Parts: sequence; structure tokens; C-alpha cells
Amino acid sequence: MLSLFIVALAGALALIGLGGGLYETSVVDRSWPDKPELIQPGRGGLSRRYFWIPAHTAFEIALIAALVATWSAVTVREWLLIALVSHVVMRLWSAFDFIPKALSFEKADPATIAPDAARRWTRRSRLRLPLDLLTCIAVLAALIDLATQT
Amino acid sequence: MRDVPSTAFARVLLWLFVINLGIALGAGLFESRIVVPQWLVHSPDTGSYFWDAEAVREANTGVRFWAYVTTGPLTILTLANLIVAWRSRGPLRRWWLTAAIAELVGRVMTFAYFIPTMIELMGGSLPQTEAVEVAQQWVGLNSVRHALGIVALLAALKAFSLAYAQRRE
Repeated sequence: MLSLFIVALAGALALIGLGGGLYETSVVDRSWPDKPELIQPGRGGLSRRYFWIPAHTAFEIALIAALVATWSAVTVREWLLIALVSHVVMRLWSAFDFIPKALSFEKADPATIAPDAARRWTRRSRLRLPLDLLTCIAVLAALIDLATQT
Repeated sequence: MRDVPSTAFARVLLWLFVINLGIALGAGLFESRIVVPQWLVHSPDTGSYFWDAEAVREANTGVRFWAYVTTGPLTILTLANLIVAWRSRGPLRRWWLTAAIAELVGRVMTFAYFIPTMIELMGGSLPQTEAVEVAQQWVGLNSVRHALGIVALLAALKAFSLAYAQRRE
């Protein structure tokens, strides 16, 4: 029963992350290349970390707890490991590619930011969403698998 | 009477409902935490607030995002899930109904209050003091809507797991 709740919570948090990502790419990323001040906290712009740090931390804790709670159930564990791998790939790609570039956009003089370079970043950033979707589907598949076993 | 969740149609409806609820909740939380402070701007020096109607019009979230995620799809999915949940039986019925009713309340609040109030605030015709008061009320009630979204999502996930547990029986 507890393991079902933990896996369901991980699923809810994965979906919340996907929703945040879809909103960010549809609304924020569509606007800021023409108005970089929008994502520059030093100039009164928004700071996306106030969503992503708690959202990712909560999901990662729930996912690890779900893996620990269901380790003996082989097929559930396999789905959760797929979710973990897709999430880790997305996080590493972000850490070494997207975040450093985003930080430089956030700190640069808005006049020096080329809109085309900013738009390229936003277009590539959308490619993280399929990884988020895969994470969601894998956690929901783990939930189905666990439900049929308990 | 057939066990409704065992039909492929009912299971697809529940899948879509869970996914759409989660996406809507995540997007709503992102908007509240990151974007709304750009609309209802707090000045740390004076402690006062300023309503920036122009920033809301530029963001245009209703057309760019909400129309495709909640206004149409989540409303239809909520009503469809309410009907199918009502006709279902077994232990998942109360969880499925809880999810559908919680989200239905959220949908009614959205159409009756959140959308018309935001359209009025976007227009920029209200005096600044009144606009700040209305916006603060909107933000406060939006937290209630998020709470309903959390209840709906967790109940839908419980129904989701029970639907598959029942299928095995």
C-alpha cells in the first residue's frame, strides 16, 4: 500500500514537471528572445529556478524512494529504472548544455543578445520534453505493474 | 452491468485524465510561482504592489497555453470521466468520482471567476488600487484551485491503480 502511494506520488511529480516544462516552452520561451530582460532576475525578470529546483528535488526523492520500496518487484523496478535513466539524461543535458547558456543569457546585456541565438536555445530546449514524457509514461507503467501485483 | 474500467474506452479516458490533470497542475504551479510575480509586482522597498496589465497582455497565456491544455481538453475530459466514473462500480468508483468532482469544481471556478476576472484585469481599465485588490484575490483563490488540482490528481492516480488491480481480478 505504501509502495503504491510512493510510486503514484512519483508519477504525480513527474507529470507536474512535464506541465511546468510545457508552460515554460509555450509561454516564457516564446517571449524572451525578443525581450531578454524577461528572464533576467537582475533586471526585474523572472527566475525559473524557483520552480525547477523544488520540482526536480521532490521528483528525484520520490523516484528514489519508489525504487527502494519496489526493488524486489523486478518489472516495476525496470520501469522505474527507465524513468530514472531518461530523467538523468535530461538533467545531465541540462546541466552541461542548457543551464550554462541560460545563465549567460540571464547575465548578458540585453542589447548584446542576438534574438536568433536565443531562439535556437528555445527550440533546442523543447527537445527535453520527450525525455520528460518518457519519464512520466515509465512511472505510470510502473504504477500499473505494481497495482496488478498487489 | 459491465465493469466499466475494463473497457478500453474507459481506460483511455482515465489515462488522458491523469496526464492532463498532472500537466495542468504543473503548468499552474509554474505560472503562480514564476510568472504571476511579473504581473502583480511587489516592491520590497515600499512593501506595495503594482498590477502590470501590459505584462499579462504580452504573456497572453490564455491563447498561447491554457486554451490547448485546460479550457477545451480538460473540461471535456472532466465531464467524460464524471459520466464514466458515475457508471462504474467496485472500489475505484469513489476515487474516480472524487477526482472528477474535484476537477469539475475547479473547472466551474475557472469559467465563472478566473477567466472573466483575468480578462477584466488584462483590460487595464480598473484603477491601480482596485486592480491590485482584485489581483490579490485572484492569486489567493488560485491557491484553492491548485489544492483542488492536487486532490483530483492524487484521487485519479488512485483510481488508475485500482482500475488495473480490478482488471486482474
